[in-house]
Amino acid sequence: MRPVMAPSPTARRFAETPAIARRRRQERVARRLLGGGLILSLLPLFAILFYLVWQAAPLLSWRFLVESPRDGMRAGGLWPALLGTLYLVGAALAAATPVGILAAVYLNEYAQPGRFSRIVGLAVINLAGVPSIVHALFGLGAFVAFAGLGRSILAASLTLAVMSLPVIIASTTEALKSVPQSFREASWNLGATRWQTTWHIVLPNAMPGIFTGIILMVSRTAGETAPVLFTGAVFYKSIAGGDLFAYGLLDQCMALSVHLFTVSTQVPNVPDALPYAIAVVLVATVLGVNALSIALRVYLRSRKNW
Amino acid sequence: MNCIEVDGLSLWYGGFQALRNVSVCIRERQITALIGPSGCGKSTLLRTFNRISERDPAVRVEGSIRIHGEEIFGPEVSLIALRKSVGMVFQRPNPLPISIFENVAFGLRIHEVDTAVEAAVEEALTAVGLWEDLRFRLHAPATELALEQQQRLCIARLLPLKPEIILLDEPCSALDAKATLAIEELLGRLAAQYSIVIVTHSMAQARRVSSECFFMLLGEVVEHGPTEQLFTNPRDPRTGDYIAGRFG
Repeated sequence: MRPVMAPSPTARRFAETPAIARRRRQERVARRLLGGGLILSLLPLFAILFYLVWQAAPLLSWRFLVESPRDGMRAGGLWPALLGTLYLVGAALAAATPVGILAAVYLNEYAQPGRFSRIVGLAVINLAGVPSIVHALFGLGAFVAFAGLGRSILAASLTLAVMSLPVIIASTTEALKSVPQSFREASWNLGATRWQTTWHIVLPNAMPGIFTGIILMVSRTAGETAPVLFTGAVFYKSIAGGDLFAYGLLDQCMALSVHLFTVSTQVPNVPDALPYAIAVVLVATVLGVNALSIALRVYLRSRKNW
Repeated sequence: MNCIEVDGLSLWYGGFQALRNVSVCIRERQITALIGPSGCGKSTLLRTFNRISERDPAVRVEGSIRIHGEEIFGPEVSLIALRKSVGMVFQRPNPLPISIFENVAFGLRIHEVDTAVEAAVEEALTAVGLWEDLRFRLHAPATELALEQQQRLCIARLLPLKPEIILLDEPCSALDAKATLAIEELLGRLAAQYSIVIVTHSMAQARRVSSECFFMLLGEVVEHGPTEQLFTNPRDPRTGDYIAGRFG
């Protein structure tokens, strides 16, 4: 008996039917839509960078970086602000990184999995979403007033550190989770303690991921305005241009983000290029630190062998 | 002489009872196999011998295990000391992501054993038949080795600590037939010096390597005896059915 749907010998069995043609058109539309989304998201990024540098071009020079502002901040450079930002981010990093890593290691390697550690984990993630202005207010109350640090680099960087702790804890936890459980089992079965396992096996393999968290933190803190404005940054402070050790931890300081805000909104008759030049320096600082951390991360990853 | 004596051991994962009143004696310096269908509790039993099963907070244990006469659930038992003398090899080879040399030296380093590390590493690698192949690349990453070599390394890693008992949880299930035979041959040699307990889903393997055999079902030991006897002349009909391949 002949099969019902047997093709006639002359039919082109692999020709495109109308239904297939419709699906092919669908595919083309989908591809263009998705690609369009990508272009739409990349375009503003490059537009911003290009526009900033274009506008800032007349002012960008080595001297702009290492001189102090002059003429009521309408001329000169931004050294005090650049140095202030470096101090703030550096001190915040120094405070938040060890504490955050310790907390994450405890949560992931020591705490019994259960309701308590789930609640703590959830709290950490939610803390990361608290607006920075709230952290600013907390820093003002806790560090400036209560701890008696006054408005200072120390108070401001501690505020930044508190703000970035959840980010560091969350990303470190992710990094620790990415280390295969079988490594821990192997180590425990040889009679290693939790600490030996953590120190010799888990942490070395989690390092690249931990660095990612720190990169995120640097990017976020360097641009923060409100927390440092409340707790230690000032509109203007005169220090020697190019001097790396011009600030003490209990001094007030200038910061790039606050400087940009001030120059753009509080000072009349500034040259058009000035705010853009400050923005370029801010972006370059963040990208520079990121590049450094990424290089370190790539190096650490290259030594990883699983 | 017995190296492990289990008496009235029951184990629960939360509400599920995985071991039911198990009492067995395992003899020293020979290979003992635990066989049975999936979920019969053979791996669970193996994992209580160095108390690694207690990593899971939901696990609850009752009963007693004595190793060379000493109760391992006693209050003054240090898990670190216990695991040093009762080592385990897993289903998937799990070398640590460090060099071959450091894998073998790891145990000595964490236990701060005062011994010549180089000599101990050479001795351990020789014992598992890796020394000749690897002596010139000891500092290569262990994860680059072939699977069979990795599993040999995981066995070698235990030896510098001078364990009394080596537990193996389906150590050949990730290996091909040739590598499986090679590992079995290695276990046969090690049995002269160490007491070996192996969990396997392969009856053929149990028959090839072990002197004594335990057949488990639903958390209970159904039958045990010399391997040849258990395979040729099982006393319990369930053992006979499993061995004949009628279930499992």
